[in-house]
Amino acid sequence: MIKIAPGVVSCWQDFSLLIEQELLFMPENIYYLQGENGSGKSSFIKHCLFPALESKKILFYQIYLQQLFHLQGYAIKSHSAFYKPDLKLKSEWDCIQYLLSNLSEIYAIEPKPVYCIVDENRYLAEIYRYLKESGFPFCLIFCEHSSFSVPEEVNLINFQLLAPNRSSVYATSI
Amino acid sequence: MIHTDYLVADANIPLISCDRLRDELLIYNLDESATAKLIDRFEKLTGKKIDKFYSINELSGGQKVILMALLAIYSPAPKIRFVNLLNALDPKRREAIQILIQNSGKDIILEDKL
Repeated sequence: MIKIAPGVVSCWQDFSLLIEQELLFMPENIYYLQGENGSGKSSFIKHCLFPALESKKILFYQIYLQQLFHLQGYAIKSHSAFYKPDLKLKSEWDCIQYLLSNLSEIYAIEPKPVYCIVDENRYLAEIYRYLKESGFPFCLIFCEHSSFSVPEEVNLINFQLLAPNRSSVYATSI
Repeated sequence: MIHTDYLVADANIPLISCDRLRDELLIYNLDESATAKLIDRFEKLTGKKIDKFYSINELSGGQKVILMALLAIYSPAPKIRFVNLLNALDPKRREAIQILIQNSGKDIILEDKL
Protein backbone atom coordinates (compact mmCIF):
# COMPACT_ATOMS: atom_id res chain seq x y z
CA MET A 1 0.00 0.00 0.00
CA ILE A 2 1.14 3.55 -0.76
CA LYS A 3 0.44 6.30 1.75
CA ILE A 4 0.65 10.03 1.15
CA ALA A 5 0.78 12.04 4.35
CA PRO A 6 -1.36 15.16 4.82
CA GLY A 7 0.34 18.55 4.58
CA VAL A 8 1.51 21.15 2.11
CA VAL A 9 3.67 19.95 -0.78
CA SER A 10 5.57 22.60 -2.70
CA CYS A 11 5.65 21.35 -6.29
CA TRP A 12 7.02 24.31 -8.24
CA GLN A 13 8.26 27.76 -7.28
CA ASP A 14 4.74 29.15 -7.61
CA PHE A 15 2.51 26.12 -7.02
CA SER A 16 1.71 24.01 -3.96
CA LEU A 17 -0.75 21.27 -3.04
CA LEU A 18 -2.60 21.17 0.26
CA ILE A 19 -3.21 17.49 1.02
CA GLU A 20 -6.07 17.60 3.48
CA GLN A 21 -6.04 14.00 4.69
CA GLU A 22 -3.88 10.90 4.46
CA LEU A 23 -4.34 9.32 1.02
CA LEU A 24 -4.07 5.56 0.55
CA PHE A 25 -3.45 3.85 -2.78
CA MET A 26 -4.03 0.11 -2.51
CA PRO A 27 -3.51 -2.72 -4.99
CA GLU A 28 -6.70 -3.99 -6.65
CA ASN A 29 -8.22 -0.52 -6.48
CA ILE A 30 -8.85 2.21 -9.06
CA TYR A 31 -8.22 5.89 -8.39
CA TYR A 32 -9.40 8.77 -10.53
CA LEU A 33 -7.48 12.02 -10.10
CA GLN A 34 -10.17 14.55 -10.92
CA GLY A 35 -9.75 18.29 -11.34
CA GLU A 36 -9.69 21.11 -13.82
CA ASN A 37 -6.72 22.02 -16.01
CA GLY A 38 -3.87 23.35 -13.89
CA SER A 39 -5.21 21.99 -10.59
CA GLY A 40 -2.07 19.94 -9.95
CA LYS A 41 -2.91 16.36 -10.93
CA SER A 42 0.34 15.76 -12.83
CA SER A 43 2.30 17.63 -10.14
CA PHE A 44 0.77 15.30 -7.54
CA ILE A 45 1.95 12.29 -9.55
CA LYS A 46 5.48 13.66 -9.84
CA HIS A 47 5.93 15.15 -6.39
CA CYS A 48 3.83 12.84 -4.17
CA LEU A 49 3.13 9.49 -5.83
CA PHE A 50 6.53 8.86 -7.42
CA PRO A 51 8.56 9.45 -4.23
CA ALA A 52 6.14 7.20 -2.29
CA LEU A 53 6.36 4.47 -4.93
CA GLU A 54 10.13 4.82 -5.16
CA SER A 55 10.46 4.19 -1.43
CA LYS A 56 8.69 0.82 -1.87
CA LYS A 57 9.90 -0.10 -5.32
CA ILE A 58 11.04 -3.60 -4.37
CA LEU A 59 7.46 -4.47 -3.40
CA PHE A 60 5.69 -3.36 -6.61
CA TYR A 61 6.06 -2.97 -10.34
CA GLN A 62 5.27 0.46 -11.72
CA ILE A 63 4.19 1.53 -15.15
CA TYR A 64 3.75 5.23 -15.95
CA LEU A 65 2.30 6.77 -19.09
CA GLN A 66 2.91 10.48 -19.04
CA GLN A 67 0.76 13.30 -20.31
CA LEU A 68 1.87 14.55 -23.76
CA PHE A 69 3.20 11.09 -24.50
CA HIS A 70 5.32 11.80 -27.58
CA LEU A 71 8.64 12.26 -25.73
CA GLN A 72 8.12 9.09 -23.72
CA GLY A 73 7.13 7.41 -26.99
CA TYR A 74 10.50 8.32 -28.54
CA ALA A 75 12.31 6.89 -25.49
CA ILE A 76 10.34 3.63 -25.73
CA LYS A 77 10.99 3.38 -29.48
CA SER A 78 14.72 3.89 -28.83
CA HIS A 79 14.71 1.15 -26.19
CA SER A 80 12.91 -1.20 -28.51
CA ALA A 81 15.20 -0.39 -31.46
CA PHE A 82 18.18 -1.34 -29.30
CA TYR A 83 16.84 -4.44 -27.53
CA LYS A 84 14.16 -5.74 -29.91
CA PRO A 85 14.95 -4.25 -33.34
CA ASP A 86 12.56 -6.59 -35.16
CA LEU A 87 9.51 -5.02 -33.50
CA LYS A 88 9.63 -1.63 -35.31
CA LEU A 89 7.25 0.31 -33.04
CA LYS A 90 5.29 2.97 -34.92
CA SER A 91 2.20 4.15 -33.10
CA GLU A 92 1.56 5.27 -29.53
CA TRP A 93 -0.36 2.06 -28.93
CA ASP A 94 2.64 0.01 -30.19
CA CYS A 95 4.76 1.75 -27.51
CA ILE A 96 2.21 1.10 -24.77
CA GLN A 97 1.88 -2.55 -25.76
CA TYR A 98 5.68 -2.82 -25.65
CA LEU A 99 5.65 -1.64 -22.02
CA LEU A 100 2.73 -3.86 -21.08
CA SER A 101 4.21 -6.97 -22.66
CA ASN A 102 7.51 -6.23 -20.87
CA LEU A 103 5.51 -6.04 -17.65
CA SER A 104 3.89 -9.41 -18.41
CA GLU A 105 7.31 -10.97 -18.99
CA ILE A 106 8.79 -9.81 -15.69
CA TYR A 107 5.57 -10.57 -13.83
CA ALA A 108 5.76 -14.19 -15.05
CA ILE A 109 9.25 -14.47 -13.53
CA GLU A 110 8.44 -12.76 -10.23
CA PRO A 111 4.79 -11.87 -9.49
CA LYS A 112 4.27 -8.60 -7.58
CA PRO A 113 1.40 -6.09 -7.49
CA VAL A 114 1.46 -3.50 -10.27
CA TYR A 115 0.92 0.25 -9.90
CA CYS A 116 -0.15 1.69 -13.24
CA ILE A 117 -0.33 5.48 -13.53
CA VAL A 118 -1.95 6.89 -16.66
CA ASP A 119 -1.87 10.67 -17.05
CA GLU A 120 -4.41 11.52 -19.77
CA ASN A 121 -3.84 8.84 -22.35
CA ARG A 122 -6.24 8.03 -25.19
CA TYR A 123 -5.65 4.32 -24.68
CA LEU A 124 -6.79 4.25 -21.06
CA ALA A 125 -9.67 1.83 -21.77
CA GLU A 126 -7.35 -0.55 -23.65
CA ILE A 127 -4.75 -0.37 -20.85
CA TYR A 128 -7.42 -1.14 -18.25
CA ARG A 129 -8.64 -4.09 -20.34
CA TYR A 130 -5.10 -5.44 -20.72
CA LEU A 131 -4.45 -5.23 -16.97
CA LYS A 132 -7.78 -6.85 -16.18
CA GLU A 133 -7.28 -9.71 -18.64
CA SER A 134 -3.69 -10.30 -17.54
CA GLY A 135 -4.79 -11.22 -14.02
CA PHE A 136 -2.22 -8.93 -12.32
CA PRO A 137 -3.19 -7.57 -8.91
CA PHE A 138 -3.08 -3.96 -10.08
CA CYS A 139 -3.76 -0.46 -8.82
CA LEU A 140 -4.80 1.89 -11.63
CA ILE A 141 -4.37 5.62 -10.99
CA PHE A 142 -5.52 7.84 -13.82
CA CYS A 143 -6.35 11.41 -14.90
CA GLU A 144 -8.83 11.93 -17.72
CA HIS A 145 -11.12 14.66 -19.03
CA SER A 146 -13.22 12.49 -21.34
CA SER A 147 -15.58 9.74 -20.23
CA PHE A 148 -14.11 6.50 -18.94
CA SER A 149 -16.17 4.06 -16.95
CA VAL A 150 -15.36 0.75 -15.29
CA PRO A 151 -17.66 -1.77 -13.61
CA GLU A 152 -15.93 -1.63 -10.22
CA GLU A 153 -15.88 1.08 -7.57
CA VAL A 154 -13.65 4.05 -8.36
CA ASN A 155 -11.99 6.10 -5.64
CA LEU A 156 -12.01 9.80 -6.42
CA ILE A 157 -9.07 12.00 -5.54
CA ASN A 158 -10.31 15.57 -6.00
CA PHE A 159 -8.11 18.51 -6.93
CA GLN A 160 -9.71 21.83 -6.20
CA LEU A 161 -8.03 25.08 -7.17
CA LEU A 162 -8.02 27.46 -4.19
CA ALA A 163 -5.95 30.03 -6.11
CA PRO A 164 -3.97 29.85 -9.37
CA ASN A 165 -0.95 28.79 -7.30
CA ARG A 166 -2.58 26.44 -4.79
CA SER A 167 -4.92 23.44 -4.84
CA SER A 168 -6.43 21.28 -2.16
CA VAL A 169 -6.45 17.49 -2.53
CA TYR A 170 -8.96 15.20 -0.84
CA ALA A 171 -10.48 11.76 -1.35
CA THR A 172 -14.08 10.69 -1.86
CA SER A 173 -15.58 7.62 -3.49
CA ILE A 174 -18.23 6.94 -6.14
CA MET B 1 -0.80 36.56 -49.79
CA ILE B 2 -2.88 33.47 -50.62
CA HIS B 3 -2.83 30.87 -47.86
CA THR B 4 -3.64 27.45 -49.23
CA ASP B 5 -2.27 25.31 -46.38
CA TYR B 6 -3.60 24.85 -42.88
CA LEU B 7 -1.58 25.74 -39.81
CA VAL B 8 -1.45 22.42 -37.96
CA ALA B 9 -1.67 22.71 -34.16
CA ASP B 10 -1.36 19.28 -32.56
CA ALA B 11 -2.34 19.04 -28.90
CA ASN B 12 -0.08 16.00 -28.50
CA ILE B 13 2.89 18.34 -29.06
CA PRO B 14 1.41 21.69 -28.01
CA LEU B 15 4.52 23.86 -27.80
CA ILE B 16 7.40 24.05 -30.22
CA SER B 17 9.95 25.90 -28.10
CA CYS B 18 10.77 25.07 -24.50
CA ASP B 19 11.80 28.32 -22.83
CA ARG B 20 10.00 31.70 -22.84
CA LEU B 21 6.60 32.64 -24.21
CA ARG B 22 8.25 35.18 -26.53
CA ASP B 23 9.77 32.31 -28.57
CA GLU B 24 6.30 30.87 -29.28
CA LEU B 25 5.03 34.38 -30.11
CA LEU B 26 7.79 34.72 -32.71
CA ILE B 27 7.05 31.31 -34.21
CA TYR B 28 3.34 32.10 -34.56
CA ASN B 29 4.10 35.67 -35.73
CA LEU B 30 1.91 37.45 -33.17
CA ASP B 31 2.21 41.25 -33.10
CA GLU B 32 1.92 43.42 -29.96
CA SER B 33 -1.84 43.79 -30.20
CA ALA B 34 -2.46 40.06 -30.69
CA THR B 35 -0.01 39.29 -27.87
CA ALA B 36 -1.93 41.54 -25.47
CA LYS B 37 -5.19 39.79 -26.42
CA LEU B 38 -3.60 36.37 -25.93
CA ILE B 39 -2.19 37.21 -22.48
CA ASP B 40 -5.51 38.66 -21.37
CA ARG B 41 -7.53 35.70 -22.68
CA PHE B 42 -5.10 33.20 -21.14
CA GLU B 43 -5.54 34.81 -17.73
CA LYS B 44 -9.33 34.74 -18.10
CA LEU B 45 -9.26 31.05 -19.01
CA THR B 46 -6.72 29.80 -16.48
CA GLY B 47 -6.45 32.47 -13.77
CA LYS B 48 -2.72 32.51 -14.47
CA LYS B 49 -0.82 35.74 -15.22
CA ILE B 50 1.85 35.33 -17.85
CA ASP B 51 4.04 37.71 -19.82
CA LYS B 52 6.45 37.42 -22.75
CA PHE B 53 9.20 36.21 -20.44
CA TYR B 54 7.12 33.55 -18.73
CA SER B 55 8.77 30.12 -18.76
CA ILE B 56 6.21 28.00 -20.58
CA ASN B 57 7.61 24.77 -19.12
CA GLU B 58 5.98 25.74 -15.84
CA LEU B 59 2.50 25.39 -17.33
CA SER B 60 0.46 22.23 -16.78
CA GLY B 61 -0.24 19.94 -19.73
CA GLY B 62 -3.75 21.33 -20.18
CA GLN B 63 -2.54 24.93 -19.89
CA LYS B 64 0.02 24.25 -22.63
CA VAL B 65 -2.81 23.08 -24.88
CA ILE B 66 -4.87 26.19 -24.06
CA LEU B 67 -1.85 28.35 -24.89
CA MET B 68 -1.35 26.52 -28.19
CA ALA B 69 -5.00 27.09 -29.11
CA LEU B 70 -4.74 30.82 -28.35
CA LEU B 71 -1.45 31.17 -30.24
CA ALA B 72 -3.04 29.64 -33.32
CA ILE B 73 -6.30 31.59 -33.04
CA TYR B 74 -4.57 34.98 -32.54
CA SER B 75 -1.92 34.26 -35.20
CA PRO B 76 -2.34 35.68 -38.73
CA ALA B 77 -3.08 32.17 -40.09
CA PRO B 78 -6.55 32.14 -41.69
CA LYS B 79 -6.78 28.34 -41.82
CA ILE B 80 -6.05 26.13 -38.81
CA ARG B 81 -6.22 22.38 -38.31
CA PHE B 82 -6.36 21.46 -34.62
CA VAL B 83 -5.47 17.85 -33.83
CA ASN B 84 -6.90 16.24 -30.65
CA LEU B 85 -7.48 19.69 -29.19
CA LEU B 86 -10.47 19.08 -26.94
CA ASN B 87 -9.39 15.80 -25.28
CA ALA B 88 -6.87 17.54 -23.03
CA LEU B 89 -9.30 20.19 -21.76
CA ASP B 90 -11.71 20.10 -18.84
CA PRO B 91 -15.39 20.78 -19.72
CA LYS B 92 -15.24 24.50 -18.80
CA ARG B 93 -12.15 25.23 -20.90
CA ARG B 94 -13.40 23.00 -23.71
CA GLU B 95 -16.56 25.08 -24.03
CA ALA B 96 -14.63 28.37 -23.81
CA ILE B 97 -12.17 27.32 -26.53
CA GLN B 98 -15.03 26.12 -28.77
CA ILE B 99 -16.70 29.54 -28.46
CA LEU B 100 -13.42 31.27 -29.32
CA ILE B 101 -13.07 29.04 -32.39
CA GLN B 102 -16.63 29.82 -33.52
CA ASN B 103 -16.07 33.56 -33.11
CA SER B 104 -12.61 33.63 -34.69
CA GLY B 105 -13.91 34.03 -38.25
CA LYS B 106 -11.23 31.59 -39.41
CA ASP B 107 -11.44 28.37 -41.37
CA ILE B 108 -10.81 25.90 -38.53
CA ILE B 109 -10.89 22.11 -38.67
CA LEU B 110 -11.02 20.01 -35.48
CA GLU B 111 -9.53 16.61 -36.06
CA ASP B 112 -9.40 13.62 -33.70
CA LYS B 113 -6.60 11.25 -34.52
CA LEU B 114 -5.47 8.04 -32.83
